[in-house]
Amino acid sequence: MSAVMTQGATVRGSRRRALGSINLVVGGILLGIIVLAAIVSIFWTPFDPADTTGGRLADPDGTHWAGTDKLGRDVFTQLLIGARLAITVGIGSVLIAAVLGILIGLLAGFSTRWVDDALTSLLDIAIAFPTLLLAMLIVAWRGASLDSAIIAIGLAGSAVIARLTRVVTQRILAQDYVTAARIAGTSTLGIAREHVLPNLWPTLVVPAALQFGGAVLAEASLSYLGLGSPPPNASWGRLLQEAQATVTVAPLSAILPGILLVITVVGANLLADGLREKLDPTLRRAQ
Amino acid sequence: MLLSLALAVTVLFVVLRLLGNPVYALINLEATPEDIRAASAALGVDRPIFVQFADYIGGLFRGDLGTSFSSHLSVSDEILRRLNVTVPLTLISFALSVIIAIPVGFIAAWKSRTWYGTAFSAISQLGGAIPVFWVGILLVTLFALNLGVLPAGGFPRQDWADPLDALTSLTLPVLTIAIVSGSELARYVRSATLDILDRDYLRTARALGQPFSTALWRHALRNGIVPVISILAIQLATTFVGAVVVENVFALPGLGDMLIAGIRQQDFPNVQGVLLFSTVLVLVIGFLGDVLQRLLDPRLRSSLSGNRRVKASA
Repeated sequence: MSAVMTQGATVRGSRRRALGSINLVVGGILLGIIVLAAIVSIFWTPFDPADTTGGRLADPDGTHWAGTDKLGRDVFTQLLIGARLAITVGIGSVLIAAVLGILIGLLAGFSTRWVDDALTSLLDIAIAFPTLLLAMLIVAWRGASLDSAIIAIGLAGSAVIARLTRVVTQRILAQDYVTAARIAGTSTLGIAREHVLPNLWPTLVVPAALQFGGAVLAEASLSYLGLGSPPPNASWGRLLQEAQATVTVAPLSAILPGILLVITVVGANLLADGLREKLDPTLRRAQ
Repeated sequence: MLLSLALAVTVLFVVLRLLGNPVYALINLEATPEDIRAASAALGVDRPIFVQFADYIGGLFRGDLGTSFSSHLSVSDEILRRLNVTVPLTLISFALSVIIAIPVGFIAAWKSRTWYGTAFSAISQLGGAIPVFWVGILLVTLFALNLGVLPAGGFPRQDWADPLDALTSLTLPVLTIAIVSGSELARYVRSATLDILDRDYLRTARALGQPFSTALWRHALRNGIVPVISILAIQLATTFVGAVVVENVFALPGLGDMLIAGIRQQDFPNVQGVLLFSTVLVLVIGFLGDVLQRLLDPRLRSSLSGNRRVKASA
């Protein structure tokens, strides 16, 4: 590599790192707003979500900040609860995806060629299979609920995590220090715990952040189709479905949940982009 | 490819058998044990699981996916009929999204320092973050309810007998999917372009005196198109799933409608049929994408495609 090129790469690298911090900050603020709303909703909502005394389809005013729905329930209350559900879905399904994915990935990475090949081809199918279709399959089996949605989306996401874990595991197992540890008598589990798991983190954190946004979107789609958690603890997707019928009278109810969804997902995606810029080892080397 | 198909078909069978006994969807609350036995015999679920599996595989080869619980029509006939809506919807939306995505993504990367380049980048950042059904609701509100220029939903009863009528009812659904998948695709085009503009071969071609457009056309396109094709294959599958959701926004009688109605009514043959058909379709699209990639890129012919895919997802 010539000197000019290296210099070019460094300049580009620092520009991208600066961009990464902006992404991190903006993503953090956007997602922070939603997390804050979710936390607030645990302790306080302006009205009870099942309270139907607000009058039907009232316009926004001092009491009902975002108006009421067709049953007289406060829309602002429902939006706050929607934030809690969105965060729950995001964290829950990413956790399931991470635990399951890391387990499968470690298994594939540590096992013999034969088992590895079988697992890898299964994972390929699972990755190619659209999340939403898998989710529908699981909802058909377990019935529509928040748990079904979280499990389904988590399962779908685990394939990508498993695939990455496998690659990283195999790369680490080929290192000399692992061979040294083996010779020193460290067990397979010990190697997994001491050498592989701590090194997974930089590779997995970006896809996990991306999956957070994807999970919130997928749950919204399921809820919109009537396959998510039922009201009064309805997610934004369900709110949009209910608002669709009354959009000419109460347009705000059909707009606000969508905006909140976009804020959540863009926030998570920006956070992922920012983390990628920060963690990318090729950029760090240029430093 | 065949192995993946066989695996997928088997997994679907096992999972759908885990879904619970389909008999309970057929009988009512007062059913006696005799009724249950009769219903089981009628469905054939009282036979050993391997016989059922053989029967299911045999049916697949004959193109027979069973009979719907609710309408008592052949599932495969129903799927074929509904493809009349879903296939045009998917293909037109996909074509439109590619037409939107390529210039938007390219300009977002190439003119990244101008205001419109930044604007296009922002648009492509929104792709994949907007729920497709919400775009549908907004478009219906604007074009159907407020302006009244296009129908809010539904599909002509006489199908494609009046093509103009059918196309009119598909206009808003197509726009909905194309906006969302187009901006998502634009993101990939943008990063593929950014990647190429940095490459040495482009610099060399320019240094040798080739005009920018020639260098782009001769070298960048041929190198850049390869990763984009695998994305296109994934995106076509995503568009199909988008169609499943959007059909429900616009009350279109397509596969998505059949699937959701099937889940709500616990019509297992319908659900199984649609999911099976979709799985096969997704796998075939992915396979064709792989083949096309190999045809276009001689470097891929000898190496394993698996490694590339990992890189793309990392």
